[in-house]
Amino acid sequence: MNLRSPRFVLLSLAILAIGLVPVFFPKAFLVTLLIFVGIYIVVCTGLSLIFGFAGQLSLTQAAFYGIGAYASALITTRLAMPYWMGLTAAALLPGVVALVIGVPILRLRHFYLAMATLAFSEIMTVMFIQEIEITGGPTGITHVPSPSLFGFSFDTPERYFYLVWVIALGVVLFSHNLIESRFGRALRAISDNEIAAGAMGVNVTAMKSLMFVLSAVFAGVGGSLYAHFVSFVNPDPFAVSLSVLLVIMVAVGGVKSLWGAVLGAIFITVLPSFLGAYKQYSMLVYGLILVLSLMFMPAGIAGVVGAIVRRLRGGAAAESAGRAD
Amino acid sequence: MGAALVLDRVSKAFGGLVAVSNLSFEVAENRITALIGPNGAGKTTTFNLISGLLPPTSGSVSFAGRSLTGMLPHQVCKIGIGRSFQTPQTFGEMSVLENVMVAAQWRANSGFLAAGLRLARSLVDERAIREEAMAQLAFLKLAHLAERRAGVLPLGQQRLLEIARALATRPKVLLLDEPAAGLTQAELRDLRKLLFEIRARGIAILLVEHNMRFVFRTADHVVVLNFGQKLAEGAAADIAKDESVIAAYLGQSPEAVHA
Repeated sequence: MNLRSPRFVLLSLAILAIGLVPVFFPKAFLVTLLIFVGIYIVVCTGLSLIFGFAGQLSLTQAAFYGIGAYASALITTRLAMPYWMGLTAAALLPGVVALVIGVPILRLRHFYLAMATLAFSEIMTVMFIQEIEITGGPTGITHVPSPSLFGFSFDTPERYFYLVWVIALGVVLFSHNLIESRFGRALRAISDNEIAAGAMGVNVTAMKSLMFVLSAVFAGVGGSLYAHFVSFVNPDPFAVSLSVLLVIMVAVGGVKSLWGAVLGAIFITVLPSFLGAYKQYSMLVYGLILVLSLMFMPAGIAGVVGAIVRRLRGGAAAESAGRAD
Repeated sequence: MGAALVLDRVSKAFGGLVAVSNLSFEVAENRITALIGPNGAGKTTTFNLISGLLPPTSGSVSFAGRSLTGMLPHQVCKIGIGRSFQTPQTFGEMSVLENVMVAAQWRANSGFLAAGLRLARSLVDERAIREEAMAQLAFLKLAHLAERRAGVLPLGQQRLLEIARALATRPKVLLLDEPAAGLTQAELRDLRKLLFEIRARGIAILLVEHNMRFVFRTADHVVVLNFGQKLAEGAAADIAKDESVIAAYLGQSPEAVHA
C-alpha cells in the first residue's frame, strides 16, 4: 500500500481511533466488545482466504479455533510454559492438522467439501468433550493465565485490547499483501477458471491447501487470544454452530474483500447486544440476515460500501470534469 | 531436426467409445505441425492427453525424453508445453494484463511469507512478472488493452490473449486448438505471420485447425486423424496432394485447397 495514498491515511486514522478507545472510554463493556471484534477479525480473515478467495466452503473454522484455544491453554497451564510458546503452538497445531486433513478433503468440491469439513468439526467437538485426560471434558481447563510477553503482562482488558488489535492488524495486513501478490492473482484465476489456471502453471491443489492452512493458523491464533482472555476453555464455544456463524459473518460482510471479514466480525459481535432478551432467537435472526443479504447484496456489506464509494468518487470526478470545462 | 514431443501408441477410451486409438506422431522442433481431421476425430482429446487434463488409457506421451504420464496440467506446463483452448478460456473477471501475469508467474520462487510481509524479493518477482507479461502483450499487439477486462474482448482478441498467455509460460511446444476459427481474412494473415514469428523463436507449434487453406499455407507437417486413428502423415505439400485424404475427409478438391 502506498504510504501517501488517501486510503492509507484514512486507515491510519481509523486504527488510531480504535487504539484510543480504551484511553477515552475505559468502559469494561466497550473494551470487551472490541476485544471480541478483534479476535473475530483474526478468525474471519482466515475464513475469508479459504472461503472468499479460494472459493472453498469450510465449515470447520470453529474446530481450528478450539484446537488453538486448547493448545494454548494446555501449554500455559499443565505444562507451565511461557505464553509465546502457547501462542506458537496455537498457530502451528491447527496449521499442521489442516495440512494433513486437506490432502483428502480438498479434493472434494462444493457440498461434499462442506460436508467433510462439517464432519471434521463434529469429530473435534466430540474429542473436546470425550478426551477428558487432555481437555478436561465438559468442565474444560480453568485458570488459563493472562499472557505476558517480554516481561510485560497483559493482565487488564485495556492492555489485552492492544495485544489483540496488534495481532488482528498484523493478520489483516499480511492477508492484504498476500491477496495483492501473485498468490491472490492465482486464487482469482482458479475461481475464474480452474482448468485454464492449471494449464498456465498454477498448482491448484497447493494454492487451496495453502489457504486452508493459513485459515487454520489464523483461527488457532484467534483461539489462543480467546482462551487467555476469558481464562478458561470448555467445549461449548467450539461447536459447529460457531463455524456456521463465522461463514454467515464473512458472507454478510462480503466474501471477495478482506473488509468483508472485518465488517462481518464487527456485525456479529455487536448484534447480540442489540437482541437483548430475544437472544434465544439469534440463530433465526442470523439466518434471516444471511438470506436477505444474499438476496439484496450478494457482495455483502463491503460490496455495498464499495459501490457507494465508487458512485461518490465517480460523481466527484464528473463534477471536477464539469468544473474544468 | 530433433523431436520435442513424442506420442507413442496413445489410446484413450471413454467407456466403450475409443476417442483416440494407437496414435503415434512427433512434434519436431522448429516446425509447425497441424493435426487435422473431421469433427470427432479425437483432435481435442489428443490435446487434453498431452496437457495432462486426461490420462491416456494406454501408450505414452513424452517430452524431451521425459514421460508425461501421471503429470498434472501445471506440471506439464512447467516442463515447457503451453496451450490454448478451442473456446477461449480467459480469466474473464481479470484484466488482460493480469491474465498474462498468471501465466508468467510460475517461475517466481519467493514464497507466501515473502508476499505477505512484502519483502523485497517478492516485489522484485512481481515487477519481473509484470514486465514479462507486458512484453508478451506487446508481441501480440495487445498492450493497449492491458487494463481492459478480458471477458469483454471480442473473440479474435481473446484468442490472441490466449496465445500471449501461453507464450508467457515460456513453452518449448505451443499447442493451439483452432486459433483460426472465426477470424477474418486479414486476421488470418496476421495469425499466420504470428505463428511464423513464434516458430522463428524456436518454439514448436502443434495446431488443431479446420480451415484447410490456412493449414496448408501455414503448417510444415500435417497429421490426419479419423475416428481416433492416424490416417496419414507427411509434409504439408504431400498431404495436400493425397487424393484419398482430400476426397474422404477434407471434402475439397486439391484445386480448392490451393486456390
